[in-house]
Amino acid sequence: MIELLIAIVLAASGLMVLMQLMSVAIFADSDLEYSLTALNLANEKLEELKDSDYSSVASATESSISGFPFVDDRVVTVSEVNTDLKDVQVEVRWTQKGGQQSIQLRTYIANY
Amino acid sequence: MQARDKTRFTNRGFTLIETIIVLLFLAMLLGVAGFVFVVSLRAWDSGCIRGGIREDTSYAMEKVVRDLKEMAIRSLSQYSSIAHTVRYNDFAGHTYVFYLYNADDAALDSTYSESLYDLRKANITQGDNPASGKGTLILRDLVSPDAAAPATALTVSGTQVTLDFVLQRGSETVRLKTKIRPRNL
Repeated sequence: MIELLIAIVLAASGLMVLMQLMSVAIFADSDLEYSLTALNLANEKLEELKDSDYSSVASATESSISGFPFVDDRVVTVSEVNTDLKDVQVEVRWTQKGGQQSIQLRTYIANY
Repeated sequence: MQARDKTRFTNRGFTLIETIIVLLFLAMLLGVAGFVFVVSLRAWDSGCIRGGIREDTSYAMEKVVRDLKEMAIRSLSQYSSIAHTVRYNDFAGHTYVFYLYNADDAALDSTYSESLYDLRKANITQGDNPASGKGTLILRDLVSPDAAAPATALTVSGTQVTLDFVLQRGSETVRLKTKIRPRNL
């Protein structure tokens, strides 16, 4: 009896490891989807900024993005390198697996 | 006689009760494992479909973004004022149109009454007629922009193009959105 129970416990722990592996593989896939969507949203913001007047390129935070409920916020950080050049960083953040994930894009926008 | 009895007792097998208890444990374990396995398989299936949609959508976005970045100066517009079309020229003087197409729609117009559309690219200079679905197929299974509020598919607004693709395959829906400001405006 005791031998069989030990065998079952061993088999169970083996199966648990296998299942954990499967769930890691499956969640890796959704990680990828969030990063890809966030990357596109960050890119969207950069293109909007490139299309706007130089003077209106400024730091800002959007606390949500319509149609993308998983996103926590999208933060634009602008610092002036010199009078005609701005350093622009866009960060999209979301929460996953209990922690905050983010993706950042950075570029310079010149007043030409 | 005594020795034979001893042997019989020390080498005895499992009782019926013990065997049943162990079998019950085993059955429970396999039941749980099987359930988790089936759920994982389903998740895996949906992951594969979503992965396919992501690949295709990324390709299409990259394609449209590259083409628009390299277009000729001041050539961005809609095609014949039809919503969700983008018309532009390249530097060789060819005119291209990105448009949504479904063969069941009577003609290319601003009403997208079918549920799914293809994204196609027509070379107008070479005689591709968007109304009959000519040109290169870029992306399949786009949800109709009329049905998928607030998705906007392909929108030209001033010097900016919005790409907002909602794709549907089976029960899976994936949405990707970005914008592009053509460089030669």
